[in-house]
Amino acid sequence: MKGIVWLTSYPKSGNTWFRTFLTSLINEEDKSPNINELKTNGIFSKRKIFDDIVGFESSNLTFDEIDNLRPEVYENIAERAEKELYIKVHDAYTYLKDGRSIFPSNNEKAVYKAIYIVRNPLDVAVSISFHTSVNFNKMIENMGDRNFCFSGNESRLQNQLRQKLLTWSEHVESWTSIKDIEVLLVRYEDMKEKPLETFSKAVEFIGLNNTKEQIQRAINFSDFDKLKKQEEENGFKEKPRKMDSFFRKGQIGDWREHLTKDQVNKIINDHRKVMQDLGYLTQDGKIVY
Amino acid sequence: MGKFKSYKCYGLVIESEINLPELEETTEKVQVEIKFGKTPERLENPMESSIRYEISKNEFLIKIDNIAKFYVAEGKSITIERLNENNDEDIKIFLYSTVFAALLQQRGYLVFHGMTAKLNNKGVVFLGNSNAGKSALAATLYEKGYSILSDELCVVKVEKGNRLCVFKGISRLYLWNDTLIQLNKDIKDFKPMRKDIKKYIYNVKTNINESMRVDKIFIISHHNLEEISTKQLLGHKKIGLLKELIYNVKAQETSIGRIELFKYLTNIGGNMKITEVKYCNNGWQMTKLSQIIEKEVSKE
Repeated sequence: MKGIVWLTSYPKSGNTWFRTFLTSLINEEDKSPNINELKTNGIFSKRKIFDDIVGFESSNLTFDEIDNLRPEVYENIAERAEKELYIKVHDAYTYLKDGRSIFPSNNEKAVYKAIYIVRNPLDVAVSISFHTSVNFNKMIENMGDRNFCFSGNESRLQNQLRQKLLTWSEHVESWTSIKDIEVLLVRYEDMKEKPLETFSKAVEFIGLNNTKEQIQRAINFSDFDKLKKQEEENGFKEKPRKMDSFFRKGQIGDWREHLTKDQVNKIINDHRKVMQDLGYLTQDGKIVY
Repeated sequence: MGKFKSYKCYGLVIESEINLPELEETTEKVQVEIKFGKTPERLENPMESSIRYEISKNEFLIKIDNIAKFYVAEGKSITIERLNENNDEDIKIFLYSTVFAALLQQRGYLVFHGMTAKLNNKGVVFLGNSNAGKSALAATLYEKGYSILSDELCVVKVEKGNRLCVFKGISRLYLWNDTLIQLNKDIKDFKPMRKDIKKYIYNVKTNINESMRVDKIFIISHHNLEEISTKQLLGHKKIGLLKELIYNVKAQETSIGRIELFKYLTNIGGNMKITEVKYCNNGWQMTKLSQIIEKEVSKE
């Protein structure tokens, strides 16, 4: 049955890597996919998609008016699609004032699932700081602020619609606790350390019938070093101007090179429970990665 | 029932029950009527429909939640059904954009997301998606002394002799808070277009007649590189990009037909020089962008 698979994550948690893997799997070519031509179906918060479906400009609406329309917009997209869609999401799973989720629910015309990609918040803090050119302290504060949004600046028009992120912990819990749709939790660290097992589980969850060999080939072609080299040679359209590169390091534990003890403690204090639930912190407070 | 006044806009004479002080008043013969009233629940045989609009060949029905429903028929009438009291200013935002676009498309005009300015006696059209920076560029050019014929809708028609003409629209821009600050304006001097949106009404004056010939087309968009780039477009790429920038392409195709639309765009692509301009929208680029535009226009 057609519908949408939400490829969802807090920013800088491995979403682009997963989409590259998926493109490689779909392409079945004997080379890495072109990072500027990924075959997934855009981002949930893209303004143009919204405008085309509603028939008027979202720039003339308030943020809340836009959010009220978003579930119907995506239902419309899912119901018109000829095949299953894979749409990137950074929004937390939130609810409107009337109780509806911002995301459409399963119905007789379309089915929705989500792959939620999560990464150690210590590494996320470093990566997102580099991505947004915001210092570590401010970014750690943002990750603990439930009002934190992407594209939430009211004083100018941004390419994308407002994306409410909530705190990092709330973002994780918003997606992993929902009952309306099936969600598969995938850890970035498992993608790195147990790639065949982790990506195979995701492929099975999506409902694709790829062999182990095909999955392994797609893993090889979406290797971080290959993507980094492609960006060096041809650029990457999703890279913010101020960043030197989008594919920066792609390592587990890079936070050790950058964060002070106080910064680490702040992140742990803000997100202890979820970090423990996800295996990033032991029950007695030791950092796992 | 309110008193009806007649106005001129996009080459049309419009008699309107809703007050439209942004438009030039006229006593010429009326071609279009705008009135308040009940709109249809649905269209009988829509050719296209989406979550808030339906289109048939000569009808367009759209609902803006909590503001109004609009019904446009035969390119001759617009019916506005209020969904809230005392909201004429909100109604006009959508009337001047989506609804006028549908009306003009029903009358055979081609409508783009765009802005039109007069530079060095030339009609210059700037096309681009929402957020491309068209309004900010319009304001920058206006502050430099150039005339702005229209913003948001760029309304064109191919006249006799294959001459592409663009029509004068509404004498105002909507500028975001940050844009006004960059232009060294005091926000307090400007009225917000709608409550809870930091976008403001910036009035422009022009003494240009109803229409002028299009001499140059720019397509404006963003990239993530430091420098502003310009590139003359060639061949079929022009047609693809032009089509992407049509205002509600489904309404346009329904009104004039897909084949006619293709012919129209091929005609424009074949006869007009189109330059693609890309810039990074991180930081204020309009001063530099306007200088590059001036240089490009003076080359012709």
